[in-house]
Amino acid sequence: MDQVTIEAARRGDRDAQATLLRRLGDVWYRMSLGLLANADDARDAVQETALRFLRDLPRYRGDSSISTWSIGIAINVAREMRRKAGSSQRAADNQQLASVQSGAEFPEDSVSTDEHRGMLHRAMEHLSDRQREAVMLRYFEEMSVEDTAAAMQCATGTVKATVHQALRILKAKLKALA
Amino acid sequence: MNDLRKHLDELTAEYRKNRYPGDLAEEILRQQRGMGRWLWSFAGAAAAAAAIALVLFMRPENPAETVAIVVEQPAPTTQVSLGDVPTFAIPQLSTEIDLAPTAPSFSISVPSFSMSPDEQSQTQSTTQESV
Repeated sequence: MDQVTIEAARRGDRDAQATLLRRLGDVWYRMSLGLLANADDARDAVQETALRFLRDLPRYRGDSSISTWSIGIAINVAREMRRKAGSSQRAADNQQLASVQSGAEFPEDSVSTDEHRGMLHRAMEHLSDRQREAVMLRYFEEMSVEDTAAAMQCATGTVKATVHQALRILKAKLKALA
Repeated sequence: MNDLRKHLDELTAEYRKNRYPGDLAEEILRQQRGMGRWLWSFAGAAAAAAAIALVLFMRPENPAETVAIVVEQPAPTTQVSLGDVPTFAIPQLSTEIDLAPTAPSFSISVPSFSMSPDEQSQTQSTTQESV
């Protein structure tokens, strides 16, 4: 993402803004889809992310890359949407996560019957929101620990611990499903 | 761990296939343009309504009633010739008329009294008592 386009977009240049939205829209959509697991919700989240991105662009200081900074906005939007969706579902997820961490078998109804999904994909559903965010940023988006920490708005040590915990759970899940 | 890595790579490939369904830039910028147009329309309508309200408010209740505007102008200076002043004929007074009123002359005659010595002394004592 070149600095000239970013500066022009900050000044309100429509073409530059369109360029940034086209380049970043796919990353936001992938993140939102992975965190919300619903295409319609993901699309809504991306549109909200785009509006906030354009609104906050003049305040972008350049401490991190524009992509990392904008992914932070996308994560915040997804978190807000999950919060609105209700805490009851999350509580159920956390209960399932606890059973995974204790080495217990997954409940039968938690295993998706969709043939197109892989085992790891199903295992991902049992990660906490934070763990899923960390794995997606570190492995799927191939971001550094520092950039992941910047996007998640937490310390690098927190990212390392969260990723380590997530990988341990995924490994256990794969072993259980094998 | 190799197994996990293989699964992660597969999932990454699947994850990266996802694309935003549509033209995000077009959707968002059109939305903003629409919002801007709506704001301008609203501002225009509000201005028109305010102008109409102002006209109605400023209009006098009785159209026949006119507002008198007093403009102070310097008094016109017209030169009047003495010939134009009408003259009135004043009757000629006779110079023999005495303007001061004449006071009537009258004379008072005061009678003279003669006092006897007794009366004179009595008058003196009365005067001393009163003092």
